[in-house]
Amino acid sequence: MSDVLQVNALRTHFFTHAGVVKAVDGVDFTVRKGEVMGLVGESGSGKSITGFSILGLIDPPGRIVDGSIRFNGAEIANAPEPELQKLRGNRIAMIFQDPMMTLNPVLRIDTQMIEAILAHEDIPRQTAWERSRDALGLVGIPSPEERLRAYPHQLSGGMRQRVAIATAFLNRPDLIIADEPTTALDVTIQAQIIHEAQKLTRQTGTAMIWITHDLAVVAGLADHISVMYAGRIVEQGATDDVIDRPLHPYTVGLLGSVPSANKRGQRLYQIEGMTPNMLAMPTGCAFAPRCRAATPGCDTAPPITDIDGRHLRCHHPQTVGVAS
Amino acid sequence: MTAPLLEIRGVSKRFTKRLDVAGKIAQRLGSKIREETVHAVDAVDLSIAPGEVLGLVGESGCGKSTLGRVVAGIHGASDGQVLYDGKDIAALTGAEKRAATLAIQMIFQDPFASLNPRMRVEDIIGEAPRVHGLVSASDASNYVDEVMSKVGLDPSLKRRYPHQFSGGQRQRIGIARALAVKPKFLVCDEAIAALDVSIQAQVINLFMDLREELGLTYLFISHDLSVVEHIADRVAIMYLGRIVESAPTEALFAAPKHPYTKALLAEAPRLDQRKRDFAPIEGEIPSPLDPPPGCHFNPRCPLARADCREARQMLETISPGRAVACHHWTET
Amino acid sequence: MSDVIAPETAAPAAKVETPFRRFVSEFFESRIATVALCVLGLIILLAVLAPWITPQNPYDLAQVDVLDGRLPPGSEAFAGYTMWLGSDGSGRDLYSAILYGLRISLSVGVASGIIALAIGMAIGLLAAYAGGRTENIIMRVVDLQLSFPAALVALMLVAILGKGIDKIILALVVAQWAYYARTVRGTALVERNKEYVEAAQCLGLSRLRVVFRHILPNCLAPLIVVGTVQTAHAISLEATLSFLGVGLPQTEPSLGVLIANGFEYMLSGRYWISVFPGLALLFTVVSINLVGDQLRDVLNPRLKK
Repeated sequence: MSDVLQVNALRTHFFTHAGVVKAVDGVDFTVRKGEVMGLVGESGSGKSITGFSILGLIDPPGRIVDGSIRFNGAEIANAPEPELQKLRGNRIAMIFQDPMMTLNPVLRIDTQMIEAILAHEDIPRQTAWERSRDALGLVGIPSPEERLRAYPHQLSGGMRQRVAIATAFLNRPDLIIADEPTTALDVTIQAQIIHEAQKLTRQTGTAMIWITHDLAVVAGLADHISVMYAGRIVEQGATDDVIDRPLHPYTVGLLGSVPSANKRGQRLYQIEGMTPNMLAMPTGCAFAPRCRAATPGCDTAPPITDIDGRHLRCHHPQTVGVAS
Repeated sequence: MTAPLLEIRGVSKRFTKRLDVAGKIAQRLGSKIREETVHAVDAVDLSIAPGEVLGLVGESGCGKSTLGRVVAGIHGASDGQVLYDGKDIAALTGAEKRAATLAIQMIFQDPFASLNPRMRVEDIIGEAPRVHGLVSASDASNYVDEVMSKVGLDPSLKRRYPHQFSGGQRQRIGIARALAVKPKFLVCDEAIAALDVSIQAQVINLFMDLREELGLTYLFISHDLSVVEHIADRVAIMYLGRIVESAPTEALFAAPKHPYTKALLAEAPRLDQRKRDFAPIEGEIPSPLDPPPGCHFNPRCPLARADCREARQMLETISPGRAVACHHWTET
Repeated sequence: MSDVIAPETAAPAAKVETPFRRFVSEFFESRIATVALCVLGLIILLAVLAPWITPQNPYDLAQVDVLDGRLPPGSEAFAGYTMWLGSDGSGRDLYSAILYGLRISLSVGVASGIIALAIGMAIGLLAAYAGGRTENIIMRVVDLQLSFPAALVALMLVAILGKGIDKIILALVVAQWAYYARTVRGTALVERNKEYVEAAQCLGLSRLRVVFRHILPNCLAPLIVVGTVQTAHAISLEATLSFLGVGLPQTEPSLGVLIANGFEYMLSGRYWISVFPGLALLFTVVSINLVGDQLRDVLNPRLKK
């Protein structure tokens, strides 16, 4: 399988008046064709900023200060805006938590979808309309002709997210970045959306980065998982490996604190403390102040090590199970 | 069976959007504008024993938060009664009324909107106990320290304002505010939904510790089945304003009876399911403005037949402590 | 019991960051607003100190000499001091007259602003809190009031009431209370539905306490913004009325009266009699408005990053 996206040593920093926020601070990963990568992290871990960096959507005071983003072999980090515009919505698409980020509230669905196609391709309007209709059908929207004439506000939240997904897949992109697309939705609707996204990636061979805070969602969806903490990927590997045999104490803690991993009615395994202040990051391993395995050696930044085909940033990989 | 600490009898809550003068004129002139009534909660019965944790599960718009607010006394019920310790709260007056009001406290979902941004933490926590004379003005400061320590907050931070705390800490402040009036019963409305995963476990643990230490009773409202499974003794499932199933937690998760409960259980993402094919239940949640006739779940239900569209099956006890509202629950 | 959580970080947030302190530091991020605030401060200072820093009391007829009339800027007065800004038709030193005029204009503006704010706030809170019919009636009255231009309302009232500072303040209050009422009611409705108000209800706090201790403090931000802008508006409204001759009497010359006095001399080239009071009015109103704009930006949570 060929590499669609290679991210190397990516650093995106925000230069605020209160100081430099190192939102993304040395991130590496690769996404191959037809593969789903789960990018998991808590708020402030830099997972969304990573997604925005790939799309070139970082606004001042933020900027990509270092690293490379190679898309289909071509460097796109800090590429000129016209070049990025040609990629966005065409070769790389994005799905947001709030579908209204992509949908224009004052335009009908058909206008928006047809324009999304015609912006990148010179085909007759009728063909574009047909393709839009088919795309809506593919994401499980009943009577797509009728829905095409609707305005976004006439649709439910779940429907809107489907339209956003259909729009993302319109130009058969090579990569889709989905940022918490199901977080605002109900359980039964979330299952429907994941189902449609999964089906489409299989049919089209589109690679996908699924950004979420919920390990359980990507457990059933992703081929690979990257766990982010404080701007860095701390553990990366095949889904089964990461979930069944986590090595980084943070991943161990996250998985261990899920209620289903604990005995009913007992206290949950918990990670102490709170996510670090982005302006006053601990030197060395950012997780050390909350880590049970931390030693004085952890005040130096752990290098990336490879263990059983996994990438890890930790001085003390948890090779034995959780002791709580 | 001990007498229930809290009992909900036939409680309904309707919200009506009334027409203003302009609307009424438009209606006279033939416009389709009409008064709209949402049946947020529709004749719900529930009882919660002292020390019990009842999990109330449902999707958005099902009325679970409204029911919680009726119990907490924020909304009055349109019909029915909420009984605390055997007495109808709405009929109480004076000191009894105040005691019942303080005994039931609520923990909110949004750790930002639920704290007054213009008050210091010490005032947020200490105001109600001072006003109600639970502590004297001179003891108030020590009392706030004590409550803050109880929920895992450093009392030296009490002069700060809410915006200086993280989401998890703010939620602890909200819990401290409730505990400060010495409640017996807590309504937790999606109290951990807005928190980071690693913080959720801390707050769940706090709830469990407090239950043990203070003998609290909970109505724990959540959309997250795994959380409810973990801490609830009994679970009630709500769909479009009605309870469709209630059962002891283990029984419910082992063998759900109502088709909606089954769908919820099957579709919640789980860590132990890899690369599975999501095969979701069809259809959307209908608008509570215009619910389908008969059983509200019939348009999405695999078991639905003609009788489901005609009549609603009331909640029926099928075994001790276990009730389900479905015509066809036996067929699976 | 779960572990006590340590202070967030030792470094930056060590001291208590009050909302006020944060507000101040954000306010001074804008250079224009900082300059405007300084100008406004200077204007207020000049107005307050007027009796001690002017060579003449323009209200004291004994100090005014008709022979000094219409002298250009820089001329020497009969009493020996230099009239840096010239004099008006009746021989008043313009510099002194402007500072005294500022005193009147500012106090009329601020007094009517504070009274209108208090009345509007009470009525707006009542509307938001009572709801139903009371709210409907109050808000229709507000709509009615707002559908007339404020200048017209004030003009009619002054025509009926007659001249005088108290009367003009009353007219300005009547013309402006509705803006405050509408603002307070709108914000209070939003705040009333927030969870912290529900929490206060759960805690059995009295309605009065909820309204005044919880809802009101959170409505103050937009009120302050409307208050600054409306005060500037009141000042120019008063100037308009005085200019038209229905506001303040000649014996208590506000900036509007001064401008009106000089108007007849404009064509004969004696520009200074109208232009200098006009500039003073302009600087006052513009600096208040700039400060108001920045207040809006800082206090409006939707514009926060």
